[in-house]
Amino acid sequence: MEQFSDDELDHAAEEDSDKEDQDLDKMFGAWLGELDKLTKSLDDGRPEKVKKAPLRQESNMANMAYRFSVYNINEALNQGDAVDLDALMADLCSIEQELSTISKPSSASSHLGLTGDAKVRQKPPAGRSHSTKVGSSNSRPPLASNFSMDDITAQLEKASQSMDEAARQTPYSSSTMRRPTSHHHHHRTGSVGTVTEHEVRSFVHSSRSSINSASASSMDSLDIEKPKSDTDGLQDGQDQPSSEEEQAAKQKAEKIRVALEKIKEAQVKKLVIRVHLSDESSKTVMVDERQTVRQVLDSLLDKSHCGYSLDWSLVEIISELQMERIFEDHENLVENLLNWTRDSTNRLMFIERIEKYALFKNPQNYLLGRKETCEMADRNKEALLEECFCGSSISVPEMEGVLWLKDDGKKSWKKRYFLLRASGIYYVPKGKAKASRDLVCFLQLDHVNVYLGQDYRSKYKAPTDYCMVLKHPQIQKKSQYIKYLCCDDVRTLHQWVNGIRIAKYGKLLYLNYQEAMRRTEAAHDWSSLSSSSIKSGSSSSSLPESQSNHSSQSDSGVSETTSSGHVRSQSVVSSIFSEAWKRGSQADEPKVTIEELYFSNLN
Amino acid sequence: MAAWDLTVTVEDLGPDAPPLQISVTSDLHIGGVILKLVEQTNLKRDWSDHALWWEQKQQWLLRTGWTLDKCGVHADARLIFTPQHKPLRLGLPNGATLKMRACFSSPVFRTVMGICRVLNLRHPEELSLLRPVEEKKKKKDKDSSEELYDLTDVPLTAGSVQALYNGMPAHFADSPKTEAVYKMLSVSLPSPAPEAIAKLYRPASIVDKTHIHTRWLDSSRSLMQQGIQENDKLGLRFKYYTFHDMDPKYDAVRLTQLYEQARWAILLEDIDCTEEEMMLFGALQYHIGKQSLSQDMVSSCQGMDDLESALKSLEVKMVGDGNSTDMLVRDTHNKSSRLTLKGYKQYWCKFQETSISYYKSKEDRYGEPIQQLNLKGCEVAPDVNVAGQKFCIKLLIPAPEGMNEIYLRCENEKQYSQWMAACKLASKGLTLLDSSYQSEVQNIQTFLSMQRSSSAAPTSQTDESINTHSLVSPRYQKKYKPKQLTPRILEAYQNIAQLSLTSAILKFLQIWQALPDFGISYFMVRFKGSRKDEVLGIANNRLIRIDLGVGDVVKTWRYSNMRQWNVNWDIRQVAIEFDGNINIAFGCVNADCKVVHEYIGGYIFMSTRARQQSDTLNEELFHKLTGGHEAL
Repeated sequence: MEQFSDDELDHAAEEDSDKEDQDLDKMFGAWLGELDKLTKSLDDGRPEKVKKAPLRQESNMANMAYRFSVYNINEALNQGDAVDLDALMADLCSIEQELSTISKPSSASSHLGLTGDAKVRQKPPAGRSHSTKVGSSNSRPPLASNFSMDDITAQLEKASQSMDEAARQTPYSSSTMRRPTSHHHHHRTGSVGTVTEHEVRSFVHSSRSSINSASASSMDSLDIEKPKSDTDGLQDGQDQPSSEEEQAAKQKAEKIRVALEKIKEAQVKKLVIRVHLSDESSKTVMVDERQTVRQVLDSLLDKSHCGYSLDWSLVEIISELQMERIFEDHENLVENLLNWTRDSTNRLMFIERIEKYALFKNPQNYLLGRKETCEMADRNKEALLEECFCGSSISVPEMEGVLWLKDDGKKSWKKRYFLLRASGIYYVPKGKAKASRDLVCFLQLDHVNVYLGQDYRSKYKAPTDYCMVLKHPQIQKKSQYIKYLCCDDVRTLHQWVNGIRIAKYGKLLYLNYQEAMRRTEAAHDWSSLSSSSIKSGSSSSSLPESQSNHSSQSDSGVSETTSSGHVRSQSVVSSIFSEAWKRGSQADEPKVTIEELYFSNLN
Repeated sequence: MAAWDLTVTVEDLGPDAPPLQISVTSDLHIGGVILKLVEQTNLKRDWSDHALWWEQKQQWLLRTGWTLDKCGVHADARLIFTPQHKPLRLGLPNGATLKMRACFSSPVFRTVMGICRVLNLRHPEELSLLRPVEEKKKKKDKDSSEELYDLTDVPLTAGSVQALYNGMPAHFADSPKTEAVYKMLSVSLPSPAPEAIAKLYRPASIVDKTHIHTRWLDSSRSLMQQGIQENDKLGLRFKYYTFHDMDPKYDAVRLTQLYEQARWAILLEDIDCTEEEMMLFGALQYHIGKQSLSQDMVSSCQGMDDLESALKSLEVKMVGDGNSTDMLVRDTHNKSSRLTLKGYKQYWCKFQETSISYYKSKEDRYGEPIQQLNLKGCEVAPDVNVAGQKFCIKLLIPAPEGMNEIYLRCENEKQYSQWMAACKLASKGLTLLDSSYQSEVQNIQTFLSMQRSSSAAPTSQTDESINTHSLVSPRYQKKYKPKQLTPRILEAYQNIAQLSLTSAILKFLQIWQALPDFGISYFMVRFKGSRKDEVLGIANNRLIRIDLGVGDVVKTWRYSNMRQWNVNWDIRQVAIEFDGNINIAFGCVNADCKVVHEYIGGYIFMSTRARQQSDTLNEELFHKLTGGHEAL
């Protein structure tokens, strides 16, 4: 790879030499067509076809990807000043860099496939031009010297706006939406170089697929910068004198290979998303479809200087259904966000949630008996975790008891005796003992996620506020397929939620925690002592039973007031936690364990 | 010192030969006695395995350096000169009986180590020997006719590292006979006939489950000491439910036998599970059985297979998007009709990538589809009745508004298996080009053919047909007819059909281990100060007190909180102290309290293994922890 980056630097420097030769534009296009054909043949033999107009069934599947990001960028742009384009750009650059190191494997085959192709050889100038252009996006130092930051930002903004416009011009039918937004995805706009590349992408797309008229029109709006960028790239290709034929061919092949890599990269879906923070502010970040929640969290933490802690979480808030879920660290963020509908009011929060890893900080309260809270020596905690998560099978905590189940379509709740097993959630049918053979399967956990319900007392007349919801992640609207369960107290609720997480993810959960610990510890070594919030969850001390009335946190998107230490408090569980967190992280105050919280709020 | 006559029976002289009288003095050591004895027999043979057994005292005289005086042997002693290794009939977890030589003179713990070494079973400490269930006399004549695997000719090797020869330890590769034994050990046996399962003893209650513990042998004493005679039958079972360092590469026999033990535990309702779990266990058994049968062929022509599948996938590529056929589609947005043709409409369907598109007719297929369903992430369930020629695929496709239920009705088995396989793959985000497609189709077809033949007379598993009744416990045999059972198992089967043999076995074990009641051994006890019998459950990490009347867990104590435990052998009471000054004491009602002691100590011993990196077994520690002072 080093070899290429050197090359790329060269070309980038040469970029600004000539500004003529319009014919090359055509050639360039033709070459891209060729290139595209080759990509197709290399692309594991699967004929690439444009998806037909998506249908009802599919409305939040793959195609939604595009819609979704449009929605987000619209939102982002409409914010005006609030958009942190610089940050976004930094993001883009880093993704770019990442990408340039990742997608190597495909290269070898591309290389072989291409060198033997006569047609490619016939178009050396175009080949060069494309790759150099691409290269320029990788070489940031020379760029920085050529363009001022403002220039770039302006261009970036222009590009985004043009997309925005395109998006607005076209009616919101998905078939038309798809084109413009796909540009957006390939839009790794971090520099002028990448803007051009994104044009290249659109070009490739057009030659590859049968685009309908709507998409073509939307392309026009994106093509503002095209002439400039194309010539930019092409001229420098012309300048390269190819001395020895062999070497030239070799170089060409290399360049083509790089180009192909870039095209592959460009196919990686990226979302620009807004992440909300607990203080009502928000950040705009770009997420690559391959990134896990952990990776996104890490990059957010790097940027936000908010101090490292295990508890930083990405929380999905489905406001329409009044529920939320902390994304697990191993989950793929983009995949999850693609489940959102286009007109979704869902929000993604970046916030500290003590309940994320409370299970591992005080495993004795989740993995052992159910009734009493107790303290445990750290050594024993470790042994307990080891025992539960490192054996040859998952040992799901024995959760059973009476829960309230909401009737389908009604606002009534009935009591049922539920049991959690590794194979799913069961209940005891009326008039039967709880012998395994008589249990009725309520749900299997493969396809559902567990969410926390918010304020269901008023929404669904739930008996308490401690509700959990089980649903397929793709379901976004009210449906009979969503199951609502209500617990008598917050402790039971969290035991169930964690039990279900263990049954679903098993050891993965523990690995996530260990990984998070490693990150935190590593960060802790570097950061100052001021970010000493790490241990808040695991340390403990006694705290006065009665809790003061802390003002509510808006982290959950729903504002509530915490009435002090009362079972029937209106507070949403999450705000209790975040509040506790606040208390815990204040330097001089005693630190709180999650269990004390349960009880401080229960007594 | 005065000489006196010692009476010794030499078994090798024949049962009717009179005992030999040898003149000894009290300061003669045992080795000297043996020497004299051998000289007097005038037999030339290898006597190295022989030792003296003192019948009245039920003990071996193994320390050749000790004098008769020190051993306490006087003129009235009747000694027997006999081999230490004798043949034993061993009931294996898979139900087969194997005749092999075992050591009758060392503590059972070491005897098991020796047996396991021969069987190529790692971690012998997890297994032990138990007496068989007392059989009625009627059955005894049957016993003689049962197939007996014989390994008595195989010498006991001392070395622990076994060289592999022909894919099996060298000592199995000697003859076709021993090779057959190894196959029996390492490949799971076909499913038993449903009647056979129904006939076997099943524990009906938790009290019944406590009885097994009256049968375990004492690990610290020898077989002879416990009254086991040559050619007696003993069971070999996994006793401690904590399986250390399971590695399919080295543990072919261990995995298979553990699987068999688990399978029988489930079939005989020794451990309770839900209906859903039973169906999955059934599907896995079916799959494992099928894979085991085809295993030999696979290993021999792996290369051919690869080539074939490569060619096949190439073929698919050439064809392009694979399936597209006329099919009945029912979109149950209006759920009115049930399982009839009503509500179905015929469309031309096309499978592309992970989506199904359907068109009004074949002619319209290049236009816009009426609907396109992306199956990624959807739930696929079969709805099949072979006899009724109904081949439906039920799709539950998630959408923002909920789940969409779609039924695809296929015309015949062939079409069904192709589409089913494609749907299955698509739900996982894989396309028809995936290499597993063909085998998936095959699997589905095989399973369907099973349903066709299931109405026939019950047979044990053969290549094509199997009675699904033999995959479930008698409770479900009673509850469902095979006709009803097959679709249920088929449904579960869809999710595991792609597993390899080893992964299927591992999966089976994993689900078994995840059952709430897994690994709990029950003992009937009487707690100190209590007037009624209760049940104590011993698991690998905790003790559970269970109320017999209600069947509920009353209290759980974990080993991690345990300070110490001891046994008062005089009153046969086990006393345990936990952190926080919690003391419990109990006596055992039916089992010997040595067995309880061994279980608790054994589990603690097992938990020390992770920390000990060395491969050698710390026998001394085991006996110390389990109260086996006799063996020390």
